[in-house]
Amino acid sequence: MARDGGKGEGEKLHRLPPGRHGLSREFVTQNQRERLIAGSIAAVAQGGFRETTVTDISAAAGVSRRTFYAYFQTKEECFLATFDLLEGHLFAAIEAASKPSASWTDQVRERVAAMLALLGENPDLVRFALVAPPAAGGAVLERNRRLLERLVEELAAGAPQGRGFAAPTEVEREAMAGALAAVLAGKVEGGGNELAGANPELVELVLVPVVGRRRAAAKAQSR
Amino acid sequence: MAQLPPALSSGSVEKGRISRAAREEERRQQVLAACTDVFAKRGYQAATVENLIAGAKISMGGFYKFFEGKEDCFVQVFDQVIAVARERIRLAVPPDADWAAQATFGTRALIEFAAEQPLAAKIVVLEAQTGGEEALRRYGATVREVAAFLRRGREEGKAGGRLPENFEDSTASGLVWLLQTRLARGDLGDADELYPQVAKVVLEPYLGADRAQRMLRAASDEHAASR
Repeated sequence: MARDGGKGEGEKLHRLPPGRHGLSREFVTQNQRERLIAGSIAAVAQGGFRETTVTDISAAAGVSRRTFYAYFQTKEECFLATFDLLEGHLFAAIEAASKPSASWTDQVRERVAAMLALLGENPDLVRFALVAPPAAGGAVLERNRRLLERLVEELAAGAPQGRGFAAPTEVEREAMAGALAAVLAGKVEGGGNELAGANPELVELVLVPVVGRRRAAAKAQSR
Repeated sequence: MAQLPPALSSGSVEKGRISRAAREEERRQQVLAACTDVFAKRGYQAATVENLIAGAKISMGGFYKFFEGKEDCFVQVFDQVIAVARERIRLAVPPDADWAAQATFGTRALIEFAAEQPLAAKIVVLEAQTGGEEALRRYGATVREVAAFLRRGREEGKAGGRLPENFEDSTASGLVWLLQTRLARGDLGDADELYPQVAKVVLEPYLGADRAQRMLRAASDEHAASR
């Protein structure tokens, strides 16, 4: 879709453009679906997955329930579509921030910065994808786990090997995923948005299993 | 006052009452154990009072004698699992242990407990998050307790001084997440393999890599000797 091209990564998930005129039917269709996705993010961030109803999502999206059912059969289907869109943007942003010419530690720093920039535009994304899922259980929690596992993988991709570098164990990767979620969740607690300040802490988290605590802390603090 | 032998003392009636209370408590424990399995297998949300009654083989009246309802039953199950886990840790940690030894032996006791009783572990790390407000509050308090214990590690070594402010909160969440993921998958892995890796994550930030490794080696020698 053409409009996917030039837009800033976070924009669509952040605030939908106000109604435009002369748009193709295809665009309106796409737009309504995205409106519903934005609505589900806002509604879930406020009330949690289980409490959020189709009516809540439709109201937050500014469309009718009938419109909702034109795109999704159930709220769960809408939630999973939201995860799909969010993941697509998040991982594209992280990948775009990876410059193969830079050192691995610099790449990690840039990837974390790109992630925080995207999430910082709309902290409800963190509430939707990382804070609310544990209370929901089921398929939503499973998506949350997969998202975190992949996030850890993408942030740490291309870690150097050999002398002076360790390969993270599975346990270290799992502990990193949970810690990452906790740090991000902590930054949006109580309606706040402190995501921009999370860079050193997260960079250190990703670097530690590979380069050790001392070097990781030094790298994370240097700028 | 003269000391009467037990059989002649007026306490013998009391004793009968105590043993009835003990029987009742034993019964409650059995019911809690059965409810643990029901909640862990079906999930808190899906489990009904009917499922719990069938699982525990008690009557509806019996159930409501012990519990106010499903949520209260879950909270009691949660408390029971935590109590058992605490006892396991207490027995595993030598009384004069310093922080590093407490962390090492405590981690091993917890991992072994989770491996032996995955359904009980599931109650605490997974189902508690969907088990209503009170369960969620206790879950949060438990994770904070773990974080507070880890924080004491900062007094152990110089390494602790450089850690980010909320480091222990994220470490505790990370470890819980690890257990959640593995228990949800139904495969915690081999406790003997998992424990040293988890203990390494716990110890290394405070002791540094070398001291942590020495600590783990000493603990494993001791463990092998005690078997």
